[in-house]
Amino acid sequence: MPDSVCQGEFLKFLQRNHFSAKGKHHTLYLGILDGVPRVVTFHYHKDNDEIPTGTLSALARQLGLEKKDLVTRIKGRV
Amino acid sequence: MSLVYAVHETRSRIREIQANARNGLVSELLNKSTHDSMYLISEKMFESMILALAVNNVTEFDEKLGIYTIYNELVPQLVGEGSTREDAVEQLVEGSIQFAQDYLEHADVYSGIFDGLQQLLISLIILSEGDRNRVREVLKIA
Repeated sequence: MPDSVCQGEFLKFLQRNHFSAKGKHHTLYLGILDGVPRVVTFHYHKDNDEIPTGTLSALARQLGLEKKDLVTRIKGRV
Repeated sequence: MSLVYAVHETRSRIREIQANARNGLVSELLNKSTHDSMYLISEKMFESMILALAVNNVTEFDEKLGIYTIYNELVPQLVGEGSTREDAVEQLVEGSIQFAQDYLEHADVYSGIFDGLQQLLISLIILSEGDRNRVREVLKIA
């Protein structure tokens, strides 16, 4: 599936957008996307682990994006 | 009679404010310097607000990976994954408790990010004090 996203790709997307981990559980990432402050819950395990489609939907909602738009941005197509 | 109280008189008039709440009246506690207001409401009103809160959870199944994801529509940061729906629900509950702990630690930062309804739901999870059954009730998980 061409639009599948791995954890490493999403982590790089967060880093590209200057998100940083907060909290003692290290699962919350805080940053600003398109001028709006956002909090993202992301459980990172391994770079090559694929993110399930439902989790990708949740991540897109957390960032105020459509899933398709999020995938496009993660893949660096814009 | 006014239901607006200056913050500095809250202590001296607390019995009156409590009586207002018992009688189903909302008291406004106004800080005249900062123009910030807080509202004191009864347990009955609070519980009615909770019942009126639209709390929906979305479940998606990834057929390729065989993974269920469940997340809350109002606060999508509350999310769980698992190989069964029940596993995903358990992780949603656990993740919500962890999220609440982290939120409480940096509430000053996060409060500007979430809207009022989201803050209400997050506060209810914090008030559950780690009780998994209460978190399930708050998240309206069957």
